Amino acid sequence: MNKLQKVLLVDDDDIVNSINKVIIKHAKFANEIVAETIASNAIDYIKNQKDEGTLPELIFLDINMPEMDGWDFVDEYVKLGFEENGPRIIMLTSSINPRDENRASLIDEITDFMSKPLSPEILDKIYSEHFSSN
Amino acid sequence: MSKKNSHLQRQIWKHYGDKPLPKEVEKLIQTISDSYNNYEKENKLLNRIMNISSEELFTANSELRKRNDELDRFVYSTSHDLRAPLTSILGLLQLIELSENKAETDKYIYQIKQTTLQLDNFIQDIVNYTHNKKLEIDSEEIDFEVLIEECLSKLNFMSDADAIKKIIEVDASIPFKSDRQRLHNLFSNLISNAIKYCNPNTENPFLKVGVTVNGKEAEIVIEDNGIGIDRTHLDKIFEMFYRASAKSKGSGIGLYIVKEIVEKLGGSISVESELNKGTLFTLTLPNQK
Repeated sequence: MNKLQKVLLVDDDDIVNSINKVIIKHAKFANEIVAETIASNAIDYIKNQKDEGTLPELIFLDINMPEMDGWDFVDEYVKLGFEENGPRIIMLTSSINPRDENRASLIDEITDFMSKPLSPEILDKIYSEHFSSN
Repeated sequence: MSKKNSHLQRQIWKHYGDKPLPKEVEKLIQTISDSYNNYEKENKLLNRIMNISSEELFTANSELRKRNDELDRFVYSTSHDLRAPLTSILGLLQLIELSENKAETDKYIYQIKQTTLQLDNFIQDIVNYTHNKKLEIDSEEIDFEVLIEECLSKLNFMSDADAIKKIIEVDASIPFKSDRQRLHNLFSNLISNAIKYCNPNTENPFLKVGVTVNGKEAEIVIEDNGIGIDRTHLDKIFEMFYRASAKSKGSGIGLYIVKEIVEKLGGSISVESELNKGTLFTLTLPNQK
């Protein structure tokens, strides 16, 4: 059985999304994996799913994207007004800039900050740290 | 007797008061007084120099600080853009390890190849950027037609490159001298952008490169009927690492390099663009004698 119902990937790089899809599938981490290469489309997707009651439990978010970047995405996400029950956001980035990590740590809506690439081990860690409270 | 240095006078007063000094030390005292005077003069001069230097140092320091901030940003952005393809390659290698299917493995290998090429391009961009910053301007006569053909043939590997009609119009009866390597970078960047951002919905995609040389300068226009650039991004496209389009797969350093090269050559560049209609870059480059 998969651990989560749905995961949303937001990254402008198709290849990264397809890698992460396979890794998540292989690790039996989520039943459904949705990928968006344009952050503003991802916001629209979340709005729709909110109405449908089929929100992802977790969003993997890239930082460095053209037009709406990861930080802009979080600003828009905050406007959606989720309380405790909203999707968790984990930043998944190639950035090794300590300023990015620091900035992320100051934003409540960002659950964690991780360096690419995603691996089954990292998924295990994410699950045990952020989802296995029950 | 000549007037003694005031510091020395005070010392003498302290020890002798009003009493006259013994005649035999008069000469010695005079020598000491002269040394005192010299010392004070030199000290004053030194102080003045130090004041000036510290002001210069202060200016230099704030300039260095600015440069350092720029370098900092450059290093972090660059390290990100160097790491991004590497993390993709690592991820793809993981997938190959997991995969038991040959067709799947082949797909991953193909993606590793594409990603490696992307990384190689970026490194080449960085080298070009540094090259432009560091080296003096070289000046030789430019054959624009040959130069543009060279750029086009190097860009032939790009997808869509074949489908685009290329119109090259060079009007150069007067010899034009400039830096060949820099011009090559300039044209490569602008032409590859026109190919990369061609409009797949246009029936007749074209790319037009026009050069007109007069004695003083060359006017260059590079025009396409590609996807265009949104008005809100137009004033930022020459910034370092700025990516205007969600379709952008690059690092956003290309047009920054173009701008830097134009500035180095003492020319100018402007852009007009409309979404879904196309983009027009106009450059003026001085004839380097």
